[in-house]
Amino acid sequence: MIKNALLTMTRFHPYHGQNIRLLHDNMVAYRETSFAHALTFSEKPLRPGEIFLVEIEKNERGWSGHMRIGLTQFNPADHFELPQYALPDLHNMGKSWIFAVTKSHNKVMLNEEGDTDNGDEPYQSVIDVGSRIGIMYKVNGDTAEMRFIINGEDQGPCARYIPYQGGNLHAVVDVYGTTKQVRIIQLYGVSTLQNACRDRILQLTSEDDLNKLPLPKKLKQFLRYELVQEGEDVSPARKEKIVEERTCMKCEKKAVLVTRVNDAFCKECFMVYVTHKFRAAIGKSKLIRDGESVLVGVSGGQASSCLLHLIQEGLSGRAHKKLRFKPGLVFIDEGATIGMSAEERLANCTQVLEIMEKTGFPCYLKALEQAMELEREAVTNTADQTDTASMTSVEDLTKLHRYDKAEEELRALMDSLKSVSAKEDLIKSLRHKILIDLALKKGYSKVMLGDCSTRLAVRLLTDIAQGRGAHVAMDTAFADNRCNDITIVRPIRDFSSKEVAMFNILNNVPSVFIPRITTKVYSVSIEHLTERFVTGLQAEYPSTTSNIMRTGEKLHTEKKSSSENQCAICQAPLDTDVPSSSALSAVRFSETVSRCSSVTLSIFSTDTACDGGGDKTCQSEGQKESECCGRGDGSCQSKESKLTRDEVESALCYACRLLIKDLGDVSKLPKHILDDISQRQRRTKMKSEIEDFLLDPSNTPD
Amino acid sequence: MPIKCNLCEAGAILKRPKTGDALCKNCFYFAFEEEVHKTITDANLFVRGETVAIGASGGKDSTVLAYVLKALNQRYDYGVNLVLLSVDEGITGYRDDSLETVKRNQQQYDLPLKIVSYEELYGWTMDAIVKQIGLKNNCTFCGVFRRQALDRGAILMKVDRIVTGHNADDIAETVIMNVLRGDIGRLQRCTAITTGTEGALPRSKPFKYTYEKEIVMYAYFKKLDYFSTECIYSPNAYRGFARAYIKDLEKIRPSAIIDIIHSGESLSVKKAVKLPTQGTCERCGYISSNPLCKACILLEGLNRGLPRLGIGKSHKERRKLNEMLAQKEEAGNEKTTPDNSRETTENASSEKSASGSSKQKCENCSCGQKCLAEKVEDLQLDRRKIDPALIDF
Repeated sequence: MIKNALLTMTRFHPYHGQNIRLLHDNMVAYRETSFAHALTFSEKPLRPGEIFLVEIEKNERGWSGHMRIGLTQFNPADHFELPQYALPDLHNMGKSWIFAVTKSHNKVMLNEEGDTDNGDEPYQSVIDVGSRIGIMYKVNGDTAEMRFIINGEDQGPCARYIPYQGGNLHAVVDVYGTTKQVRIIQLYGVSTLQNACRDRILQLTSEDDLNKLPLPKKLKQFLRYELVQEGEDVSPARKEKIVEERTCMKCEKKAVLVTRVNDAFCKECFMVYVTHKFRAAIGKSKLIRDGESVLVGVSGGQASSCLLHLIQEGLSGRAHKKLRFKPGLVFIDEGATIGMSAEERLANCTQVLEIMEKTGFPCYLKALEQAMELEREAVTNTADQTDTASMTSVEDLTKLHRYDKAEEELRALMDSLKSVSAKEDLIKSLRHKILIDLALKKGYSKVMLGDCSTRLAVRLLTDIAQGRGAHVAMDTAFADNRCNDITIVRPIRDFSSKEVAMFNILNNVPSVFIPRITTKVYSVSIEHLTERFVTGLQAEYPSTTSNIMRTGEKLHTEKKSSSENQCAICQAPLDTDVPSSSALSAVRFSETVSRCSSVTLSIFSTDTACDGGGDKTCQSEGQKESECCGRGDGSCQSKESKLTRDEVESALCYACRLLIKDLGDVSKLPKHILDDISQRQRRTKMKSEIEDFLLDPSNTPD
Repeated sequence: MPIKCNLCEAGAILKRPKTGDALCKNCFYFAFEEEVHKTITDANLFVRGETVAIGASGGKDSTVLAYVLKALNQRYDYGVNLVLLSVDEGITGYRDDSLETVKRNQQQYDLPLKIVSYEELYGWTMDAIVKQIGLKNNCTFCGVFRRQALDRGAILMKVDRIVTGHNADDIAETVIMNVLRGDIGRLQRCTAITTGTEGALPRSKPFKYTYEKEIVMYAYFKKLDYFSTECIYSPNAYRGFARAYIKDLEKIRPSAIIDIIHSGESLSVKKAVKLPTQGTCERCGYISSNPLCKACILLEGLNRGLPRLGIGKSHKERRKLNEMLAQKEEAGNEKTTPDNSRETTENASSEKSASGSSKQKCENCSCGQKCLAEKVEDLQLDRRKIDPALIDF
């Protein structure tokens, strides 16, 4: 019985390309090396209507092009000389109908180029592992037509007029390019009782539940296709060790978690370890003095909640050595950036405020739109603003509604930014401005943020990807002193996000989930993409985050003394003073060269000193239009002449210039930023007027 | 409605990946070439009268580079002598085919060509190396050897400078790779347009700010003849991640590639961080930050049947090496003439009292080997230096 069944099995023909190894009783074809010499055939010719179905079992990165499949009238039993490829070689030998399987295999494909590479289109990929590709032919009078069946869907005829009577048609599969291994799916006849049982069990049981079945180990392995048959090498993909009991590396008690590869901790030792890390970071920096007022940024998220909890513990009487600074808490509501309703925002604020109030520290509530109404720092010290008063009762939340106008402005600003990356970047800068502003007004000298190492590693790479290389150190170091009076500190920067999450779970630390601008979209911003990249790598290479952080530690940001050398948006030192051979001037030149007419260019290119003056000549037309924000509607009411895009750009760092490029209208920027820029503009003008009389050009009053 | 070219009246046929502007074919050529020209003049890459070797692989980058440089050299009269320089790694089915392209290029562009092969330089082809090492770390060998091979070929051709076809994407990728690996020394070096200014031959990358996509476009529209199959030995997986990341970034923000290069250029390293000092290899004199250059270590590993020496975690291989050295020592002692063996033991005993244990072994060994094969005595003397260095490594 079984023997009969075996006879009806579909197999690969033992004659095949030199790089192919047949496994599993000739039902699996594996290409051992290279990308070519991987032709395989069906053992028997196909009957009309018989489907020859293969499943892609393994892929190999790095090649271009994928599996090719089709029919041929060459008989592998003749041991004819096999060509290197199915396409074009075998195809050109005639009597063969072969097509390449592409990423987006839709309907009839008549090109034989193979990879058409429409990488951007979101087709479900046909070439992934698990995809099933079948081939069959249907008789239609004297000739036959060939059809593909891809993942259960008949793709319609793709080759017609096949003279099927002229010779037997064998299925041919070229295990080419990225496709590394294919398995024949048995459609006809029962292979073996064992396999039939396996198929049935797999249909009824999910893969995760296989372990729980009351079966001997070998059978389970067989069910998972892990049982090694002779001549077969199973990749050592899953070598999961399930260790039932691990002991804490410190005290030999039962461990509850593993932080790094081999560091298992019990709950108590983990708490000691985390608390020590936190306090050591603060202690080592020697930045926070006794009795100093520190503003703690709370977002409601995991990391800042963890930070808050650690601070509370450290300040409580229970702590071994009490921390001695005075914290104040601030929450910034960013609901306006994603168009939340007032009710939703109120609900979020209430939740976070509840957590903050429980600590008994002074609490502040801010909304991101307030950044639109900040006044310039020089003025703010004297101004007494009632609306930033400490709000500790829920009733005061209604005050948020007072920012209607600012909210509109912020939304307009956000809407005029085209890309999500730019929006995210701007939100970060605005948030930062509010923190600094509040700290200044309320007499805090430090701002403490709950950035953990995973977050910072992502930020580091994001910074690099956005051209903020010069600011990487500031953005990720323990202390960020870009503002003269306020230092930003990141005391939990050595915590991985896993440690943060474990800490919160073990201590029942509450946190609030608030959707952000990238919450509901799939990888559209640079930061989001970077996060996916880093976390993906981290899963495979556990040292990724620490490697990135280690790189960051070796870098530093050169601080420039005068505020005129700071970016007006992100406050980081300007990085735009570059030699003529640099990325910045290359970008400028590219823009010039593909936007100006050749005549201007030929003059320009002889003038090798490209210091930004060049692009004005050709862009001025475009500039003039955007000089005034909206001439007709009266919203343009600035006292001085409007700032041009070039003027704004000159006060920004490389990355913030990218942000501005994305912005339709520069006058939508918060007024204090624009004021700051125009003041700088006036000062440079003043300076250039008196320049001749200055003895030392670098000596400017501050 | 057909889109008009940004610069002239003709219909545009492409959108520049770099700036997003629609251009016609001729304006694109113009912009592309002008940018390369600007890169060359801004960085003073060429000095009149110099001979410049173009590292030619037959791939798109180097083919376009050779074509553009030849055109620009005529148009702007740099006054440099261009030559083609290729490395034959000895990969059947890949390099032999691509070298055919280079040979065709040589005729098309009428430039002298020199091919240096791994086999003549190192005595190993890549095919032979892969047989030894397998598919996993072969790229390390190939990369390390290629770098030196180009230099050696350049010295043979008496050129003053090498230019390579590295494009902006490659450099951005390297920046990301070095961040991920925490390799601060390379991170600092990798964005320089010219490297190796002290001592070694300077190497420059005129395509530093040129997008890979634009190079492909240029080659496509100019119908340049190039070879476009990937190496048959699978490429470096880790680099693949960085590459995929860059491509994704480019989709979101096309300027990201240049932005990364800007980041790389504006990074500054803390003064306190110790950077590896670049010296020269004791054995071959090539630039190296260790006493022995990587190529010599890899080669030594291959020749001694320990191909994994110099790849990844060193301690295991080092142990093997020590074991092997110890074995050789025994064998050597057995086979030596009484005369020699007395010398050896004397040497050994004096060494034992003088130095630490690790050094002892090597000194012993080199003696033993010296006795074994006197013909290669000078090589063994060389080894006396190398073994401790290898073990340090």
